[in-house]
Amino acid sequence: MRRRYFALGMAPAIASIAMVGLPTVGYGPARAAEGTLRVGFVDGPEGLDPAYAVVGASHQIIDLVYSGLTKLDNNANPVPDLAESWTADSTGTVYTFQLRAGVKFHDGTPLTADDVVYSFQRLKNPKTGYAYATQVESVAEVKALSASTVQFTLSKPTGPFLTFLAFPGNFIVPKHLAMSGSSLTSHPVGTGPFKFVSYSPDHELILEANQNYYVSGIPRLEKLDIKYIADDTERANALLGGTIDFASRVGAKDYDNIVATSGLAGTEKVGGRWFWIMTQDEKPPTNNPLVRLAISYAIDRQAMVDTLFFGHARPILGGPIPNWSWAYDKVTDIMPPHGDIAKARALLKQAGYPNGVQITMTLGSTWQNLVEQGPLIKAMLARAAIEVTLTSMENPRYMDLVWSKGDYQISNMYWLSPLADPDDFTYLNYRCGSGMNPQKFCDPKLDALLQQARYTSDKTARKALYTQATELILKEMPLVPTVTATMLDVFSTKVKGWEPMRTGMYRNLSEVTLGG
Amino acid sequence: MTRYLIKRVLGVTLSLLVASVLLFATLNVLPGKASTAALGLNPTPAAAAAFNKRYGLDRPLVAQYLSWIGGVLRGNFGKSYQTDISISREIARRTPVTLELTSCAALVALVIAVPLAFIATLGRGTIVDLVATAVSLIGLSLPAFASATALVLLFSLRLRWLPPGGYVAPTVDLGTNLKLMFLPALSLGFVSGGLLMRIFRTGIVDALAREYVLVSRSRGASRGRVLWRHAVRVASIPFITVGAMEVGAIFGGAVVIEQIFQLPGIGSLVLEGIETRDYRVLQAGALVITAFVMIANLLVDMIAAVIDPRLRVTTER
Repeated sequence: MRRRYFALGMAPAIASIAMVGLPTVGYGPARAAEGTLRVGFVDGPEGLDPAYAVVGASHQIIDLVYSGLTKLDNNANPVPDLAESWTADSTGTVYTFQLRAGVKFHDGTPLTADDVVYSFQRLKNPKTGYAYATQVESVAEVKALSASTVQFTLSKPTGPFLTFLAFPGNFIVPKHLAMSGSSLTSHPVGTGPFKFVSYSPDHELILEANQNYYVSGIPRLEKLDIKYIADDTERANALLGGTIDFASRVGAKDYDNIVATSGLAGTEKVGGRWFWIMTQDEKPPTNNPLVRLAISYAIDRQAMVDTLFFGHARPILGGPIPNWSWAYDKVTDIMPPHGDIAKARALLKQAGYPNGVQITMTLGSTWQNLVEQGPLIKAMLARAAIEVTLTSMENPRYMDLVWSKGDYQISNMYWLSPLADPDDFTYLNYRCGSGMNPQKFCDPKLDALLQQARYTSDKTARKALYTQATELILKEMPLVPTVTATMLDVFSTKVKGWEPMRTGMYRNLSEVTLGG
Repeated sequence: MTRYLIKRVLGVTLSLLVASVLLFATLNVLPGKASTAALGLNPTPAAAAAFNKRYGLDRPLVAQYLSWIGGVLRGNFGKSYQTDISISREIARRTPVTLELTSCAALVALVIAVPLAFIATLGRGTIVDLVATAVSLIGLSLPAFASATALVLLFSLRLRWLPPGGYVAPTVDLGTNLKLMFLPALSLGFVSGGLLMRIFRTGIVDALAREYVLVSRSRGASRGRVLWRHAVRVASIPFITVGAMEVGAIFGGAVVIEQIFQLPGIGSLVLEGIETRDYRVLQAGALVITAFVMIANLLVDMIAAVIDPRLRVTTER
């Protein structure tokens, strides 16, 4: 799945500029109108219809323009949004949602239960080809009980169901527009805090405040002027130069200098932005779990944090579920932060490679932050007698060869979980035949555990299942988790009230104000 | 001259048609499917089929080409696979940006090349010549993206004279537009300027050493007259020929420069098309750039033909 949650996106290979502490004085393009926040995002969206959007850059905008039945708070817990309240029956399979009264789409049409029913029917229709269809797999029926009441019947209790409803792909679209063939992809119409105005691909997207938004006083800004600046350094420069007020996801190398600059500030949030080394689990030598474990033990995660992320990351010492998640269990933290070379060598010997192995690491050339990991990983693995040859290729070819065909030995990737539910860190990455599993790993036992954990409603029971799954994962090491990078946003100090979100979304921009 | 012009215009039209076939064919053999890029890695067969049908990708390549080129000839480039936005509208919006950037860059190249060449020639062998040649050599050897980065560091972040990037249309605010255009045009034009200065300087120096120049001088023609009537005119031909080729280099360089300075031109559209395998966007952008380069070359050739009649005589036979 070409989810650019894991992509920083295209960036011309330009030399990095050493950042120096500079005073920020506004100059440059005509001063923005009062109440207009100029934001620098990374990649431009590729389509803004929730059902068809694939990449994170699209979901970021969909999250500002549309709304779902639920939304996630700053710590990723589902809370009411379009649904004012809900009840679940004792089996955990029938949910009845009461819709908020008086909600209108941006074209002035009132939101009704019919729109909700239609939105989910569309997601379930195989012709739609919804890229995140597994999230609505267990939704068996959606029925309008009245104009403002909707009932969902699930085929089985689904733990993250309320969280899934807060995923931008599952947001509610206006039935009358979607049915009449009008393109929500190019002209999104939702019920969210901001209305779509215009988009010039990969350059600029303009949103204005939805005056009829159902939360009074929100949004506080009049307009969002979003500039797409793919290169980390250029985005940071735009903020330093005063041509934007807010820069999302700046590079770790620049963060400390930017926040030390007078007139600028930043937020650092640990979320679901995690990195891993992918292994081809069907072909030798990485089809042997001992070789994969050897790779894992050979990695000095703390060194990655210190050198590649300048401290703005945390080593992953256990499975992929982050330590802030309710499903995290400390007993699974078994990897030493600096690795264990002796153990790695012993594992390799045990795997039948007493003289070491040679493998090729394939990198997608457009992802700066992934490419720069290559040499470090090569050096770390060399200490354990795993000799790595690095090769890189242009991204579409990389996606085709590595992700579609599984034609590689090892590679690396990262992903920003937009849901922050433990399911989102495991289900797609580890299950047999999943599109997010180019390792081609397959263990029916792990599949069963992950399936059970997803389709259980009780949190305690789910947590126990995830601990079991993580223990299995650490034995098999289907992929090698390395670090969780924090999310770094920087802005002018006149931007007030910004709260970063675990999910990496930017809906909280609706609560921001611009001071003098 | 008219016949020459007609022949050349026909030639350019034909070349563009050939280019369109080549573009279409090569882009379609690139690895990575459009449906995968648009729908995610593992689209359901039903969704992939619906996508292909909607954009006519289920038809043979020849039929796809014919309907595409038919649309292009009527000014309709179709819609983007990814964003569903009209490509023609996007091209119309972005063309002025790229044309402004490349014209400004060409102007920068001339402003650097011509005076430096004269200064170097007049002070041949002196420190002036050495400095002028060194400046041109720096321009020639420094890639545009590197000088762009250095210029941003100096003028935007250190001195804070100019913004580091962005775009405002000249119709909205001409002053800001020019401020924003200055660094991109400078970094892009500097490379060609360096090369052209060397060509021009060598041409003039060569011409000045010719016998007829010496004869003119010995007959009492003034130094300025000789320089202008003989040397510059003769040196202009290689200068213009290389200049015509540099037009292509400037358009090529614009793709990267637009990206660095966040200029919403055709180049950044092409890059996005490559990244997302949005063939229609890519084909449209590449074809438009090809057309610009060919038309610019045609114009330069016309100027050369005016200066040097031999060029048109040989073609007219």
